[in-house]
Amino acid sequence: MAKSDTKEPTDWPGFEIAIAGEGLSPAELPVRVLVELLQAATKLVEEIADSRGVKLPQPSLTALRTGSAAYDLRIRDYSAGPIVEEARRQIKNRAKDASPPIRRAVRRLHDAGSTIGSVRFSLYKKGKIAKALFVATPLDSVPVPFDVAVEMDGTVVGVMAATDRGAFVKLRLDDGALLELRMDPEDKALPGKAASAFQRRVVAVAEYETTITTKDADARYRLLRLHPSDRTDEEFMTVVDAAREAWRGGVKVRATDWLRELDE
Amino acid sequence: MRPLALLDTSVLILLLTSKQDESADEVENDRKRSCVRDALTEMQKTWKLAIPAVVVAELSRTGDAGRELEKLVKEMGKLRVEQFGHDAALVASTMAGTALTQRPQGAERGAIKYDLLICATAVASRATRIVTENPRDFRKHLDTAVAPDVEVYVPSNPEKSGQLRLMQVPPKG
Repeated sequence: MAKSDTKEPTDWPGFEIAIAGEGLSPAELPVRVLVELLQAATKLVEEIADSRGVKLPQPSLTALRTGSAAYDLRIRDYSAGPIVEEARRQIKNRAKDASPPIRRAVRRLHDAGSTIGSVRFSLYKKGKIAKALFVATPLDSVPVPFDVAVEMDGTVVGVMAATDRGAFVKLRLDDGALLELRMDPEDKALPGKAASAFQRRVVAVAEYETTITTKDADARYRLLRLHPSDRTDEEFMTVVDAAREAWRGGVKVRATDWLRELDE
Repeated sequence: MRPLALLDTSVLILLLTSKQDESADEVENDRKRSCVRDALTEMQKTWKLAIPAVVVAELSRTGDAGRELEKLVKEMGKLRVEQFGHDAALVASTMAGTALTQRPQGAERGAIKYDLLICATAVASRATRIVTENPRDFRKHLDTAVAPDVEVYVPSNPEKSGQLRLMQVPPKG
């Protein structure tokens, strides 16, 4: 891991965390609130690092702004840059796509200052402070009742596990549409099952999820179960005929020649 | 669970081409093409039909047709493609050992061709039928793997179950 011992702490990746409130200075901030604020911020960074399999040094408190209750937290490791960037993204998106531990960490950071004011997070980018974000509570998923969960037939055309956005399986439905289904990060068996069904026809049972501030583009499905499809292949000849039409465009091929090549 | 049938390269070639001229070979292939279409149209109602991944590879050609073929291979992804995985590789290894030992003197290792890999895919994926218009050495390879339950089905020349196998007597003189 690339340590940054030779640089000044102000060059280390980090962020400023503050509690915004009228006339609030460090002297007026109860110690317990300060401790919880710093711990919550540290926890968020740790959870994101954990999700990426990265081990980082704990953030250090490198500066204190006296005019307001603002604290500089820096990490003595350049590889922490993408981690703090991700922390900012999660705060900005209200941990919408995050795993449960990260969602809990964002909520804890929000709650840390809620009795006094609003928690403010500002990232340091190339030594300069970026636009501040106020930490809001994570967007809660509102699963629809199980009895309106949908069952869909399709072919598994992609499995994305351990990404920043969690684990997803991509299905190609019969009308050619591609659909991403989210998998619960704590379900360790489902991604493996989806991977072994790659390029196979499956029946996916999914739950339609929505969020408090849902827009159509945000609507998504959470995969509950996956099993091999036993549906008939009545479209087989249709697909073959379509393939033949797509292919025959320019070249006339004699089956006799082609079949002979197989035996050569 | 419906039984699984694998299609071999000859079947796909027939399905993807059409009669180009009136030569005897093309006319005969057109007859086979009709048999294949009829057989698969019927089979798709009760069987799972799949293409072994090695068949997709065997479709390769050179020249202009090769470039055009890329389009076709992409389309094949819409069908069920049976992967050649570790299990199939183990079966193929057993089959290849026997086939190499029994190969004609001077024949290269390359003589162990796609048909062996197709058979191995069938055994590993528990397919019960290989549909082909060119049975080649399929039966021999399947017997090596002790896979008598895999039927080699030739649509233009199906074996009639229960048919007496009559001994052919060469004409006198």
